[in-house]
Parts: sequence; structure tokens; C-alpha cells
Amino acid sequence: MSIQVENISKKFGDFTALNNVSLEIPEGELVALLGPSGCGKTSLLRIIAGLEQADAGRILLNGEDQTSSHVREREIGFVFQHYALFRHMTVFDNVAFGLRVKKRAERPTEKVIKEKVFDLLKLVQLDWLADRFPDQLSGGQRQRIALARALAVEPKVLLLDEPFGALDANVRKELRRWLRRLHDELHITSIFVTHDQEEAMEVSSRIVVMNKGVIEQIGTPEQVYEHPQTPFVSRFLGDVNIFHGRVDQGWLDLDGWRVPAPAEAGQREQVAAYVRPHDVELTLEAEPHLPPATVRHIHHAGSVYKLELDVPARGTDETIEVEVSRREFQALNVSTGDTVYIRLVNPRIYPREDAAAVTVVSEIGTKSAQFNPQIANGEIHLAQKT
Amino acid sequence: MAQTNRSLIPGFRPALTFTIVYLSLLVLIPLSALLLKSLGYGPSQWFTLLTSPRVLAAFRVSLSTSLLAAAINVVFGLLLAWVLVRYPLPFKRVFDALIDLPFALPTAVAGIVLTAIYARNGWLGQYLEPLGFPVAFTPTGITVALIFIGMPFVVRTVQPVLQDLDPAEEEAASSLGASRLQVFTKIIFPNILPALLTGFALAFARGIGEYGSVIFIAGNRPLVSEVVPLLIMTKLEQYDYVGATVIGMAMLILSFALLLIINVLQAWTRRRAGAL
Repeated sequence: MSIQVENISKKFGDFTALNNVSLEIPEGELVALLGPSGCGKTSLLRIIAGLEQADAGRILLNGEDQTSSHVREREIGFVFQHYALFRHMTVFDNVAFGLRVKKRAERPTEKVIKEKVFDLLKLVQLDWLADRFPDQLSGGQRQRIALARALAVEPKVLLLDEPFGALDANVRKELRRWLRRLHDELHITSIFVTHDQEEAMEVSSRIVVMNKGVIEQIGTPEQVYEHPQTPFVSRFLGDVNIFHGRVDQGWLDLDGWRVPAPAEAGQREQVAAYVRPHDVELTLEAEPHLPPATVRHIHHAGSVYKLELDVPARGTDETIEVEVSRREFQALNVSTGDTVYIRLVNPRIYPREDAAAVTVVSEIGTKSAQFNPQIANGEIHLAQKT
Repeated sequence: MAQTNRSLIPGFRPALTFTIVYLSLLVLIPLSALLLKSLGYGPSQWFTLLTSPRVLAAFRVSLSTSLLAAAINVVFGLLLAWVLVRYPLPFKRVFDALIDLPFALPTAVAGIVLTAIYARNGWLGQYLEPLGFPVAFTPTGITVALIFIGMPFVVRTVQPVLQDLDPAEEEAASSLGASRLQVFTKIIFPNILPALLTGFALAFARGIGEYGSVIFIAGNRPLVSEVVPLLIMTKLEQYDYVGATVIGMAMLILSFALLLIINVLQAWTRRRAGAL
């Protein structure tokens, strides 16, 4: 079933949760609503579900206007962040609930219900837990049961509100692969809300990036990551190094440090260039226009090495974050204090005022992604020194 | 290795000692005294006293009015708690405070006020009596007084449970196609049933021992509207101490048995509710 969201607005008191949001989701897609907390993604999901009413706008499911219909008439399956399993019922009764509350004429016999419930429990690989109560299950198990319960009524749309938000990292990883596979099997139109960009990239076929009640960009994971249309999207999907300067005759001039600019950059004053850590190339040989940099910290982050560099040409104390693969790192063979030369690849250039406006927001939204690793690095480094 | 037997929580021995001494002073010793005193009658005297028509009638009145009042309180107490928790009301805090008033009011005051209202010449009594529905000085009047006394027990036990119900559970039920009635009967009611039973037990226990508010509105007509606590008082006034303790003892055993049944019932619903 396709979903159309037309000009939806929603306010809570003075706070604008959604500001004239429109969105179209074709049948069979698995879409992620991605954004920082308070960006309106959960409100949008709840409005699509019918658990919340919009102040303005329309919701069309399969082309039919369902704006004012009750949640039980919308044929949706909803999965809650904290599972919302019925505590007083066994796992079996939880999954059977949707079938048992059907009107007598539509209600299947207990035998059919039993078969169906066990099929679903097998689908979520938990048929051996049928007699347990929700309190006796782990978080990951509970969420799988919640999904089985939602699927029991054969919904046309599956809506998941931060389904893995309350789980620990390992379980989360396992469950999102599993969700992806499940979707590939069932092809049910699904929307899931998340604030974790990695999760959105891994699971969904299309990402809707939201911020402050509006949609910033819609696209495949590749599109939003490689071609972010706004500074916010750049910053929210992965780490970036931000440089300020201007574009002049094919060169990006960053306070006296010149970098070749992309052809489409044109001629602009006051720009901000966003470069991802893995788009900074390092070389040991001096080349024209490549500024020297000093290696300040080296952090071994599993599959990659993360380096913090001081660039004297920048004229600020801020370091640049660089990510290199193990192989590249071994080829470079640098250690703390060495000098390397840096080349910026694929910088995204935005007018500076847009970038400045977004900084404030993303500091709230992506604090952990932006700042914590550096602090953590510093501590690790100090610990090694002493 | 005495160490290995130590409980993780320290102070088990002083805690147990304190509990036993405290319970003995306040409950066990007085009750034992009651039992000893009541043994001043032999079995045949016990039987004769307890099967006398006046005593039997008093037990019938006490039990039936307490049970009825507690049952009515369960229904309307739930309604009150529901309204207080679920709806935005003007002056909600005032209403909320009013619920506790029967706790604080001297019961005699409540009894006098209720009598004044429901008596033949009272505000409500003057309309009810001509309709053939006298309240004051009948078992109905006793029930009214007991409803007044027991209401806060139900509201105050159900209210926090209602408040803690996860709204997402109800939303989940709706999204699975449950009607409003089904959401209540299948999701909300099973969750609050143990609290409702507790409220019922408390209201009933309070009702069966209630004296102050009942004696004014009951009219205390032997065989009709005389409750057991009043009968005990009557015996005492006649210096029949042993008789009073025998009735008291019978009352104690009966209410203990009833409360035990309610507790077992409650444990059973709780187990069924999965909250072990």
C-alpha cells in the first residue's frame, strides 16, 4: 500500500513539530525517517498511523484519504520503541490478540489462530517462547514478538518507531539485518523512525532526513551520503571537517591555503567546505598546494585508523579528523609528531550563512557523533602516555 | 564457614526481633487476651450465644451491608479514579483532595450528617420515604454509610495503577483492531483487577468493623438494623464481658477467613497477570 503525506503540519503548544511536510512512499519500500530528537519524525509516524491527529494536511493510504479515520481502520501495524507488549498475556496470546479481537464473522477459529501464531513465531524464530510472559524475555526477543504481533493482522503498512532504540549495540545490529531480510521476504511497505544514521543507511532503501519539522532531503542511502543537499544532511550523516573560505577561479581559498575546487562551485565569497574524514588524503611527499600537517593523535578504531592533524596553514587550533584504512596507514607508516601533506577530495561547498545556521542545531542533534570520539581519543592517548 | 550463610541484606536478626516484638505488642497479645477471655464460655455456651436470633441477624446485617458497600465502591471507585486519571478536569486537585475526606472526618460526624440528610425530614429523605424507599434506620442506610467510609480505599488503590498503565499498550491494542470496549476489557481491566480486589478487601474490612458512622444512621433495631460492633457494645454495657469477647472472636475469625479468600484470589489474578 502506498503512503502519501500531503502538507502535514502539527504544533504542540508553541512548538512546531511538523511544518508543511509532504512525502510520497511507493508500495513495498522500506523507508527510514532519520533526524535528531525533536525533529518531528515520530510525530509524522504517529500521524500516519492515526495515533495522533495533524493540525492541517492529509494522509492518503493507497490513494484513499484516511486523515480522519481511526487507527484501527487503517490496516497498519505499529511497533513501539518500548515494545508495548501486553504484560498480562503470554507471548502466544500477545500475537493472537489482533486475530481474537476481530468481529465474529471475520474471526478465524482457534485452530487457525494457533497455526497462524506459530507460523509467525517461527518467522521471528521464537516459537519456543510461546508460553512465556513478556517480563521473562530479553529486549531483543520482546521486539521480535512485538513485530510478530503487528504482522498477525496482515497490515498493509508497517510503522516502526525507533524499534531498536532500547536495545544494546550487538542485538541492534543483528535485528536490523534481520528486519532487512524480513522486508525482502514480505515486501510490506514499511517506515521506520531512527536517529541513528548507520541504522538508516544499513536497513532502508530510501532515507528521509528531517530537521526542525521539515524534510531536508529524500534519497537512497548513497544519495544522501554522497550528495547531501544541505549542510545539515552533511553533518548528520557521518562526521565532517568544516573549512571556511571562498571560491575563486577554480580554487577554494581557505585563509591563504588553496585547494582545487569542484567545477560546479563557481565563484562565491563566504563559503563553508565540508569534507568527510575519509575524503582527506595523506601523502608523505611535498606537492604544490598541499599544506603540511602534524600528526597529533593516532587512534586505532578497528578496521580504520583515525588521525587528528594540526594544520598550521589554517590559522586555527582546530584539528582535522582523517580516516585511513589499515593498508593505507601501514603504507604511510607515520607516528605522532610526523609531518604529512593533505589533499581534500570531494569537498561539499555551501554558502556560509546556511552552514552557520545549521551548526547550532547539529551541535544539539549530533553531539555524540561530533565531539565524543575526540574527547575519548584524548583520554586514551593520555592514558597511554603515563 | 558462618560467613557463607549471611544474607546480602544486613540486619536480618534485629529486623526479625523488632517485627515480632512490635506485632506481639500491638496485635498478637491483645488478640490472645481476647481469645483467653472468650474461653470463659464453654462450647455449648458459645453455640447458644452465636446462634441466638439477635446475634445471627446482626452478623447477617454486618456481612451483607459490608459486602454490598464494598462491591458498589469497586464500581464507582473505579469510575472516580478513571475520571481523575484520564480526563483533564477543572479543579482536579480539589476533587482529588475530596476523595480523602472520609479518611479524615470523624466517623461520628459522617454518621450524623448522613442521618440528617436521609432521615424522614432530611434533604433527601423527605423525597425518598414517600416513594417507599426509606434509607435512614434501615440496612440501606448502613450501606450508604459504609459506601461513604470505604470509597477512598478503592480510589486510592486503583488510581496509581491506572496512572502507571502504559498508554502504548492501549495504542498497540487499537492498532491491532481492538474496539474501545475491547481495549478496556482485555487490556486495562486485567491490569487493574488485582488493585480492584485489594480496594474491595480494604473497603470490606473497614466496613465490617465500622461503628461510629453506622450507629447513627442504622437506627439499631434488633433483628433489622443492628450491626455486630453495636451488639458487642451492648453486651459490654450489660457487663457481659465474656459474651462480648465471644462475639468479637467470631467476628474476627469470619473476617479473617474472608480476607484470606480475597488475598488468595488476588494472588491468583496477579499470577495470571504475569506480574509474578
